[in-house]
Amino acid sequence: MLIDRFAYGNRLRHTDPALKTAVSLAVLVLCLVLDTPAASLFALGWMSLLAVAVARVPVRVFAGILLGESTFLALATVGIAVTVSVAPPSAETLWRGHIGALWVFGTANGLSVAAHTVSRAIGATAAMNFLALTTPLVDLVALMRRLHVPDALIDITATVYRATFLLLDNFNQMYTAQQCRLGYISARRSMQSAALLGGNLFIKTFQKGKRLQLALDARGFEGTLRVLPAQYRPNPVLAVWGIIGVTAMLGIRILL
Amino acid sequence: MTFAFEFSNVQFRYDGLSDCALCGLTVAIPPGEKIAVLGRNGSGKSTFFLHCNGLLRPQYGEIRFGGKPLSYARADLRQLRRRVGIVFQNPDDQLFSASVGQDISFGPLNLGFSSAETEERVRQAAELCGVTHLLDRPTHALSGGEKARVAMAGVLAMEPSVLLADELLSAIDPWARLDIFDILQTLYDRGTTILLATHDLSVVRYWATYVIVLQKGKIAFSGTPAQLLQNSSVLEATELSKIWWNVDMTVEE
Ligand SMILES: Nc1ncnc2c1ncn2[C@@H]1O[C@H](COP(=O)(O)OP(=O)(O)O)[C@@H](O)[C@H]1O
Ligand SMILES: [Mg+2]
Repeated sequence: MLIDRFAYGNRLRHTDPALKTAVSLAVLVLCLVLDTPAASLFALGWMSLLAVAVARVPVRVFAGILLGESTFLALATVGIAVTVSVAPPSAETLWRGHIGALWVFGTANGLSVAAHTVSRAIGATAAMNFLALTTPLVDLVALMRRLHVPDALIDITATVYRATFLLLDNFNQMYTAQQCRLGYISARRSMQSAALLGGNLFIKTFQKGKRLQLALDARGFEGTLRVLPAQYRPNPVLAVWGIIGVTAMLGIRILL
Repeated sequence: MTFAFEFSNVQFRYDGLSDCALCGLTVAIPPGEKIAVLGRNGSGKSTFFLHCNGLLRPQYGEIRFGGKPLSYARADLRQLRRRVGIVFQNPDDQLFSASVGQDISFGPLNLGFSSAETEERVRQAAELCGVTHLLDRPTHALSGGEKARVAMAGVLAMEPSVLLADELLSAIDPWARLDIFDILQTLYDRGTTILLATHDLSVVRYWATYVIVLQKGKIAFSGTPAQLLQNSSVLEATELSKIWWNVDMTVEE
């Protein structure tokens, strides 16, 4: 998986995940709480800059992922900015039109709500992307353990992560095997093949889970998946960048 | 001599199956040997291994480890698993952690070692298995041969006195096999008892010091490779003669 590759290969790999999480959570929370489009857009730029310039995640990767997410966001906000109704608009509108018997229109208020929502969401998303692209899940799990998150929750997180890869592997293998035997040659065959794949994927993954349990027991598993925590280096540079970013967002809010 | 393992008339049937997987298995495993475990698919090799480590319990019969009957009490099982390690057929079934180093640390931590001791064991096991440069890597981003070596390191970090390797060689290329054999040789030199389930008869001819052959959940043969090679009736009965074509049969005494 793409995200995972960069999480393991970036320049901030050995930075304490607590710091990375703090920076990205602070920015995320400020985006949500301040609700100032300018501050959120600044957050978008700032987090992109940190990811690209400091962590050295390739611009294309960061931009590509953000673009994908923005498409979803854009679709969602169209719903907010545009009103569709059978009755003609009662308040003042910026524009109006109709499709058949339906009125379609936008109000100044709707547009402003949409702008706020988009900028908030996109700033917060950029902050999350920064964390996802610089911090492997292993590190986040270790951090959860340091913060005394209950063991059961941690084990579930770690196992789901691992299972995702097993599931994807299984899926790829079975999909390729079906393709080789022309399983997707027509729409009809595709439907049947996909159904078979779905059913078998569940069974295979279940069996795999059972074998994993045996292997864990063989190594003396007694209820918690304990492993050594990773070693991290302090990173004052990121701390300073983080503080500058947060201050700037607050400043923008006060000035505007 | 105290045997590593003694199975007497062990029977086991998986839930919902009418046929037994182990059908009165009786065998004595000598300590400190390199043992090849042969047998067709379904002959019970994996089931046999799972019994050695206490993961499955015989439904009938008895198993002794180091002369004493196996006890399935929690503390005894922990002791057993510390001394008997299994490397599974498919490393993907075994690697659960996101990073290699962390995966290797799992066993020693379960045995109650401190972080410092665990780190030392991880370091040694990684070095033995040649995976030191991979410690930081995610377990899903490894080649087949690397996965096999990491899986081994995870077991060896517990420093078992008996190592069971289940068809470890089937999924990896001949060069990766050489690495595995180097590791096994080091362990053998240290006195570890090694059982290797395999379909590769050259392993019997050139590597093993002892051989057991399973057939339909029973022992069809146990003895030295030379004894097996000279015993044409066993070779016929176990159908090993059919696949022996690529191995030099001459036995030097
Ligand atoms: N988890 C399981 N559930 C049900 N049956 C099993 C299971 N594992 C193995 N068996 C059956 O037990 C018999 C012995 O299998 P196994 O010990 O895996 O043989 P081998 O490792 O020599 O191929 C086979 O008939 C197999 O189908
Ligand atoms: Mg098997």
